[in-house]
Amino acid sequence: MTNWNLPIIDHQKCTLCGLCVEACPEHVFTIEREMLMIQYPQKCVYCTDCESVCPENAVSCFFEIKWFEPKGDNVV
Amino acid sequence: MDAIAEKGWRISCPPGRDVIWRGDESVSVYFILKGEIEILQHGADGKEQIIQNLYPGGSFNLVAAVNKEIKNPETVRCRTNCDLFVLRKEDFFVCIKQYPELAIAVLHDFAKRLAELTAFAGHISLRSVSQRLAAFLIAEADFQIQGKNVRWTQDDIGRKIGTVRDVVGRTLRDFENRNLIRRNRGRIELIDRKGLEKLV
Repeated sequence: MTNWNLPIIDHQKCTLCGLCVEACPEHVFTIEREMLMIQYPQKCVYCTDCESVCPENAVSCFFEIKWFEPKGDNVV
Repeated sequence: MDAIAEKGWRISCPPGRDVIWRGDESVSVYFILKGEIEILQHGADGKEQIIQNLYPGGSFNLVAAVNKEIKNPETVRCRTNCDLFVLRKEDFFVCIKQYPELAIAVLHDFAKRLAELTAFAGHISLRSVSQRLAAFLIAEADFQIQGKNVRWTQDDIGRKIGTVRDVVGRTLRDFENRNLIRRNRGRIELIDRKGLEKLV
């Protein structure tokens, strides 16, 4: 099953500056009706560039930290 | 315990809420019933450092009460939804005198925190960022095995290990290039335990 973890947007902090829209290499963001939205979630590669450029800390990319569990052919 | 419970009260705080601020008048002590707490210090430039994380059973602002300090020595923030039990300092001292088992429990908590802080001070001053990050990743992955479901941003990790977000990002990329970890859409998977432990 695809892992659809996505950046989390705090709309109260977001000032719609558009820096994340420009920074995103996959162009997943858009600003519509005065709100920042993830328009193409399936294109997000979770590079975290959006989080690093946001001057208001309105975008957060969270990580779980786990031990790798090999399954079937997925052995490293 | 009912007698102690009668003297205090419960509060609930959402994630991100500052419970007390450093420098404010110290009036109460706090016991954690549910959730995770961050003890913070701030530099003159505003940079934030997580000194400790506390969990249910832990307590904070007792140092100010015991030392009879007038001001809170640290800022304390809720990392998750938290339920706290609050006692006014004066009532805390009454309870300590009446119930020695409470005093012993507080001493145990102080001893544990002192040991953690001593280790943390050594960690920060004597280890490189790579070493600190490797140690953090191992400890966190082991902690997650216990069923805790805590998620971190790179900024959170930086505040925890005493560096900044960009350095965390670069170091994680370095670890990926060395096949110690891999990152996968919101998950950092630790692949090579021995390799990471060697770094530490």
